Amino acid sequence: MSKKNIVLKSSNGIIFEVEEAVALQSETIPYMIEDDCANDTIPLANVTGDILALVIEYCKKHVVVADGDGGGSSSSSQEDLKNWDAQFMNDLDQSKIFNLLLAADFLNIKTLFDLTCQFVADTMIKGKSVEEVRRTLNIEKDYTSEEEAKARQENEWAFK
Amino acid sequence: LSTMAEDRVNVVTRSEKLDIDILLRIFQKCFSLQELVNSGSAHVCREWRAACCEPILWNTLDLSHMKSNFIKVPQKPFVYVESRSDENLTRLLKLSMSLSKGNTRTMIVHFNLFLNDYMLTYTAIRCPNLRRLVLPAWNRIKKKGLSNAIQCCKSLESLTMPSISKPYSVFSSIAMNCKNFRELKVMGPINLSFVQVLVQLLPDLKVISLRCNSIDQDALITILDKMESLEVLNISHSYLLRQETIIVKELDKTIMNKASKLKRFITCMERDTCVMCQRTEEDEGIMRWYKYEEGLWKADEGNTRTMIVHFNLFLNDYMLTYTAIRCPNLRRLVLPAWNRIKKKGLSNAIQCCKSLESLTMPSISKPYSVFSSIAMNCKNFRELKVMGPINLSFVQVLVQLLPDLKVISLRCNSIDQDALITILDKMESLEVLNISHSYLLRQETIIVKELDKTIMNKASKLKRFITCMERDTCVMCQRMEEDEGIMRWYKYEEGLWKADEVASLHL
Repeated sequence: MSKKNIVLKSSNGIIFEVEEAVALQSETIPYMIEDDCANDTIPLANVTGDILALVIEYCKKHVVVADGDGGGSSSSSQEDLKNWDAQFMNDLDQSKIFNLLLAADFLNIKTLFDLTCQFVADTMIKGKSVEEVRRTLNIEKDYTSEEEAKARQENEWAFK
Repeated sequence: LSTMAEDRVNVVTRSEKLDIDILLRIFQKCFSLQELVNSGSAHVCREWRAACCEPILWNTLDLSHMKSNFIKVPQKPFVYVESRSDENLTRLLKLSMSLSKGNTRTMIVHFNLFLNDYMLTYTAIRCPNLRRLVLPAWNRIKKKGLSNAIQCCKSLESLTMPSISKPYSVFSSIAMNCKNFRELKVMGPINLSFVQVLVQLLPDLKVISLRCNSIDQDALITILDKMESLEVLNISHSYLLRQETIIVKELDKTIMNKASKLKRFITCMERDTCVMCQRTEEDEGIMRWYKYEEGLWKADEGNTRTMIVHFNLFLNDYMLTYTAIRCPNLRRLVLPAWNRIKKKGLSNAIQCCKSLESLTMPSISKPYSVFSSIAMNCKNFRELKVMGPINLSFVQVLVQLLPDLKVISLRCNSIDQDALITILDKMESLEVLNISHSYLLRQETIIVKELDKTIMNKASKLKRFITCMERDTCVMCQRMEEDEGIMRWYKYEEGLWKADEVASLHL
């Protein structure tokens, strides 16, 4: 079979040309192709170029393994892939992570979405105090003083 | 869509905050009940608290992985629970209940997690929509506490409980409060007095499971005699006792006759071969679940989706029908030997299994009645594997009656070339065809060494056409030819017959 390429266009107009097998890890893209959503180019209106680049980097890394169950010579071992995933996530800043989550959700790439969810849970929420979560995730405390008191009461018997 | 995209081409959508719908999915995917409640996520901000209260997170209050820190004591309640462990559980329940907002439908408690009356009542009051309660240990729960709890849960439909000596007050509160109650599972020895109270107070139950217990024979007979609405009874791996001591080795005809009115009577009394039956007997009718695999106690029968029969295990019509009636949700049947099964028996069985999607069968000379019962009864049927020589007349019936199949495997057979061509020509919905290690016959005798262009062209419309005709290098192809198209599977590696190149057919 000859290799077919697919052209993706980010919301800010950046063009990416990728092999079909790479793009088809997204369960959304096939519908866009079938809908003939674009003649040659598939526009992704809510994914910016830098995020799309990350998505494609992930999909390229995972394409061989996801494709051949026998595991060709070029495919990484499961262990290598896990290490790669961890490094990939570690190198991202927070804003990129939030937007990668949205992109993985929109493009319906299950493994990438799961990986990113688990990373957020493990590094930003679990084992952190309420204050730490607010600080890490840049969230403002928006409780009224009444709600605050109620929450503190709940906390008292909950976290004594 | 494309115009929309063009309009927004210069709009760079970026989020600098964690999306709240995604936060909810993170809670769902990555947090256990304890982790969610202990993380303090509910106190971060209003949006987060709202996410923590989403009904989807509270549908099931799963405490099945949590155990009390306890020691056994010789007097009632037979367990002493460390106070720290109680405090943790109380805190968990209180925090959970402040977030669940009455949305809990199912509550599952580990058999070694010992709730006291206070904890149970506190939770029950806050779970008014509870449908199912799995509570296998009542050591510290008094009758009054349980009755109070049941009064709060008027929607209760299903209860898993330990066997207790005086069940009157529990069953009467259920009878008074829970109109839709229909399902009971009891874990522990079942004696006659327990059952007598049961049939008196809850005569209209639909489903009872008494699996992995010792059961008094008269108690079983009482259930069968008195519970006229009963549809499903599961006594798998249990053993029957006569006069409190004698172990009954087989269900007698009286019991089988009485049970025949049930939709499903699920049994397993195979002490020689079934490890669960052996364990029930070793543990003397009170399963010591803590000794066994984690989570094993949560299993129950009656939901068989797949049935696999060895090619040298010869079911007769009675056995097949008996099983089929009791597997109404069967999706896949692997039955490679039909020597003792008549057409009528098989048609009857298929009528029971309306959800059947996949069948593995031997090649037979007159497949008309089988295929027509499948066509009439099994709307979702999509996958067929045939083990044995495939000739043209077999395939002609197949394409006529089941033209919409998606997957066919004819691996390791001799296949008539015209039969193969007929499949390719007539089955327009076919997506996957596996003829690996099979060889083609032309005019019944000439072995075709390679697939010709006509066949390859016709097959190009398939998503996958799986072949292997490598007689020089492939041991399976060689065996095929040695066995002259009827694979003698018994000669080869155990379990080899279950392999298939098609993932959905591989066992």
